[in-house]
Amino acid sequence: MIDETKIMQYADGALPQEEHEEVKKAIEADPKLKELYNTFKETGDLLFKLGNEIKSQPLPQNLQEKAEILKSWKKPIKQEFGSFNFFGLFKLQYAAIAAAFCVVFVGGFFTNTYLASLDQDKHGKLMRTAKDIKVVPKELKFRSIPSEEEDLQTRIQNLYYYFDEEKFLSEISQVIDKLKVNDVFESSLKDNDGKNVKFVLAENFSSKDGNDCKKVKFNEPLRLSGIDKGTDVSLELCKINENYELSAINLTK
Amino acid sequence: MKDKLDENFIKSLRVIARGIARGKLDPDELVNGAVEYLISNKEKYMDHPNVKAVAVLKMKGLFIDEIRKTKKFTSMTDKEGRDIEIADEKQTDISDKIHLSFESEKMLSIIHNMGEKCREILDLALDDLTYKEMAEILDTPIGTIMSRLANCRKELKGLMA
Repeated sequence: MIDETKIMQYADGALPQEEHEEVKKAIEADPKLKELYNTFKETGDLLFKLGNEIKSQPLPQNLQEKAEILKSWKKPIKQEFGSFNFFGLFKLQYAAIAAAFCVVFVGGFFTNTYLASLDQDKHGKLMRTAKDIKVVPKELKFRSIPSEEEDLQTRIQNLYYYFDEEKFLSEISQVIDKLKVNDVFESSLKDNDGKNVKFVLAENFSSKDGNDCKKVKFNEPLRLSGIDKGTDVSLELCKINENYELSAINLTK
Repeated sequence: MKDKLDENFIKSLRVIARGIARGKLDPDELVNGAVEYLISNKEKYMDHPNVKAVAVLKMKGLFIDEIRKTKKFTSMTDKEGRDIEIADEKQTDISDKIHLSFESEKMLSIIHNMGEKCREILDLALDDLTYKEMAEILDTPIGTIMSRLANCRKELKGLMA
C-alpha cells in the first residue's frame, strides 16, 4: 500500500529516486492514486504560482531599506562575472514569463521555432531551474523581432518553456553514474526536427557542500533566439539525498 | 536551513505574513516588525541557522499582540491551532499593498478561510519551502508536516472545485 505522502512527494519531485518506480507503477495501476497524484500536482502548481505572484511584487520603501540593512550584515558571495544566479528567481518569474512569452513572440513563431537564452558576453550565466517547464532543443528556426537588448529573463524563459526538467532528470538519473567523461547520453526529448536530444558528460566535480555533481552539456549549440548564432548549454546536476537535482544551467555564447 | 538575508528573504516573509494577517492587519507591518526585531538583535541572529523561523514566530507574536490591543478581529487561535471566537468590536479595512490577480485573490481567500493548521502549512508551502524547512519553522516532525500538508492540499482541492 502506497502512503499518500509518497504520492505527494512524487508529485512535488521530492521522492527519493529509488522509490520512483514503485510509486509510478502504483499510480498508473490505480485510478484513485492517479486522482490523488493529480490533486497534489495541481495544488502544488497553484501554490507555487500564487507564492511567486506575491514575491514578484516590489518591496515598499521601508522594507527595501531593511533589506539593505540585512544585506550589509554579510557581504554576499561574489559571483563570477557574467553569471546570473537564478536561485529562487526563475520560479518566481515563471508565471509572468509565460505571459510575456505569449506577448513578445506572437506572430513570429513558426512551428519549427526554437528559442533559448543568449548571453551578452563570453562568460557563462547561471540560473536556477524551474519545474514543469519544457525544453527546446536545437536548430529550430525562429522568426520574430528579438533585439540585442532582449532581456535575460525572457531569454531564459525561452529555454525553459521547452525544458521538461522532470523527464530529463528521470532519464539521466538512471544512467548518469555509469557515464564517463565525454560519454554521450541520448534522451527521449525531441528537438523540433524530431531528433532525440543528446547530452555529453563533461565533468565530475564536488559542490561546496561536498555533494557529487556532474556537468552535462547539450551535445550541440542551441539556437535560443532569432539572433542567436549558437549557445552552448550545460547543466549541473548534484546528488542530494541520493537523488540528482538540477542545480544550475550555464549558457555560454 | 541557513537563510540568505536579502530582498528575497523579505519577500518570502511577505508571502507567509499574508497568511498570518489574514486580511485583518497589514501584512507588511508584520514583516516590518519582524525584520526590525532581527535588526535590533543583530548579534543574536546574524549567524542563526534558521532566521526565517525566528521571523515567522515574531510575526505571529506581533499579530496576537495586535489582536489583544485592538480586538478588531473576529477570530484567533489557541495553542492547539483551534479557532477561538473573540469580540468583534470593529473591523478595519486593510488595504493590501500587494495586488494579485482575481484567481490568486480567490485562492488566497480560500486558504485563509481554512482551519489554522492548514492555513499555517499552506502559507509556508506558498513560499516554496521544502518539507524539512516547514518542519523546522513549525518545530514539528517532518512526518507530521507531510501528512498534514497532504490532507490540507486535498481539502484545498475540494474547496476550489
